[in-house]
Amino acid sequence: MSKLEMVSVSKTFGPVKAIEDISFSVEEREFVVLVGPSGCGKSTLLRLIAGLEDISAGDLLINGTRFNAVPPAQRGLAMVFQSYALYPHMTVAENMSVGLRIARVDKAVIASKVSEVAAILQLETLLDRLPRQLSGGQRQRVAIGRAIIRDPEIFLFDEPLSNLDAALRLQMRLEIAKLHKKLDATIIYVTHDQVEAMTLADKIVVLNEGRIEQIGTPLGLYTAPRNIFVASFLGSPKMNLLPGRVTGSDSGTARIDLDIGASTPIDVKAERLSDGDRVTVGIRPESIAVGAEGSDAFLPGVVSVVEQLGGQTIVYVDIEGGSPITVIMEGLADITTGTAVKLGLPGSALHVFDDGGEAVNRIG
Amino acid sequence: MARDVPSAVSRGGHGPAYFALLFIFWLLTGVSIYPLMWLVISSFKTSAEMFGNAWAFPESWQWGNYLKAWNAGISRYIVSSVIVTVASVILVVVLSAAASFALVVLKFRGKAIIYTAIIGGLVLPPEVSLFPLFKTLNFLGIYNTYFALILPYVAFGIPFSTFLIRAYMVKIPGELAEAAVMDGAGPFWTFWHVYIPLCRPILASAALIQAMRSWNEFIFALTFVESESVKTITIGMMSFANALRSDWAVLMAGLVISVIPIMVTFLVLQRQFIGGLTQGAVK
Ligand SMILES: Nc1ncnc2c1ncn2[C@@H]1O[C@H](COP(=O)(O)OP(=O)(O)OP(=O)(O)O)[C@@H](O)[C@H]1O
Ligand SMILES: [Mg+2]
Repeated sequence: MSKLEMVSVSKTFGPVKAIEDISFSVEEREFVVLVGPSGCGKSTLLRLIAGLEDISAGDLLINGTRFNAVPPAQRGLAMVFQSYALYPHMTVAENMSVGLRIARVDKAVIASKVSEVAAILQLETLLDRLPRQLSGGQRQRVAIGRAIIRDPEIFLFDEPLSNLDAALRLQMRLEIAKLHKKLDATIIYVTHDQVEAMTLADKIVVLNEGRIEQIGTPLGLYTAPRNIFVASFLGSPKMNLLPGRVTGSDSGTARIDLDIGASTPIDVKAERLSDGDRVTVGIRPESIAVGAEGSDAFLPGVVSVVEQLGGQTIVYVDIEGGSPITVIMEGLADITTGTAVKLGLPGSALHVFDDGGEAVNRIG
Repeated sequence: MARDVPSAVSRGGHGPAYFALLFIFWLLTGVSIYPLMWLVISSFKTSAEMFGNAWAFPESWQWGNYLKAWNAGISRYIVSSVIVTVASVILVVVLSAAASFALVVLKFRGKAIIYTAIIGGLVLPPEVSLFPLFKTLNFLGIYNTYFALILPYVAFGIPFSTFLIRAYMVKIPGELAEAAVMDGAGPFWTFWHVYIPLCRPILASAALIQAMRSWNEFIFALTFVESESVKTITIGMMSFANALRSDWAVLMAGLVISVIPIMVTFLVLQRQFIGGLTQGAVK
């Protein structure tokens, strides 16, 4: 039995359909990340689980029991808000203990729990401060502390790191990952940052316009995206997308001619394609080889921008008659702007999407 | 805080604009303080001195004027005014804060209509409702009691203070109330432990405004009570003036006494009041 299950859940705000027929499950101790572009309904979905919004249709099951009508505080969930939502006039200790105080827990028990949680989050020396006397990262930890102290069945996080600067975001990301292990916690985590999703998740749910595009492990989604949306949403820099046409198909394989003339047509494994179909061919920047040796086909182009990141080099190549192609090369590549190159396209690394954007082949 | 606010005047040193502004400020201060000073000084003179030498300081300070005024009936009016003002301020602030909280935080149907109805009270001039109110108070059997003033003051005070407090509460992030819900708090807890503490500056402002309105109100006080024992200071001063006939200096002393409570209230609340104005800048 799953820890939490959403069964065909929908949510409408008047005429607006924010969530449409969404189903997924969360297992005990799983770290599930809901990811998608702004406005796709991530927060709404989390708020439905929390009970801050009513579910319009469908069921929410927790430990197998229908929880649609259970008041938020009785769902055994704790939520960490994007803006932290710390009470400005209460100290750190008071902020963390609000839930326990409302539940009229014994004072001595509260005190020991506060210090226990403060120790986990390194907040011991800050307990008497007010939120405005804390840094962004410290406030975030207090918000997490307020969740931990209640010992919830499931943690809900709504974009907890989006208010932090890049360095702090990285650090807190690691801390959340550690916390997940240390507490054996079940976590549902909302973000629009695909890197956070890829690094933290056991399971990713990709949302778009209120619907689920795909559910899977980070690697599963990365290597086998079900459609163009998922393919281009995950991965940075984005997957290159090249329009083309099927010029020959056989059982399980297809021959594709790219609109921007590749050296030769490319043979890919693909189902359900017939001659003349329009397709989009996707290839990740790291799968492209600079220099055509050993590739099934190549594209001639000219290097327009080189970004040296140290560990890797990102190269943008202008192709005649098409949009620029992004290539990732390992290490500090010895390549300069203006160089003419041939980009090798290994057939085994190509994703092929049909006219409707659905993947027709599976890689790996 | 205030020091950090860059000002066009002080940044460029003390130029002509600085002195011009300073002059204007002093002028305004003088214009508003002058009548008050005159009142206070006159209240320490004899009546003869007051007319004979209006501008000078008193030859000997007549503290007795104050005692006379107090004993001549001012004390009674002050007590009535304090009772009516304190009661109406407490009721207005508590009810408006509760109404604002409901309008901002709670979910229910017909919010917009209720808010419009409350705010609609702002456009109703008190004079228009004199007669119906008079009938109502008679019907309720509270004509000529403190309630005959407290109830109308509360009714006419709520629209503006709800307008004020609601506008402030709207700016408190809704996530605070949601966090409280997740923590198991009911609406009353959230109201009392989150919204009231965070709204203190605006509650102080609303209290101050209502205190001045109740203290200085004239028409209702003139119409809804008639016994000396329930008359408030604004009406009381009229009887007082009649009773004293020509003892103007004592009358001045009575007037000074009548503004002292509201001045004290202002001084007590103004820290909160000004705190409320600057808080947004600090955050
Ligand atoms: N209370 C509401 N009333 C009406 N529409 C709403 C309400 N809350 C959300 N919506 C709509 O539902 C959709 C999803 O909103 P939601 O806040 O869940 O997006 P999100 O994925 O969290 O976006 P972001 O990444 O910007 O936070 C949006 O189109 C939004 O306008
Ligand atoms: Mg959101």
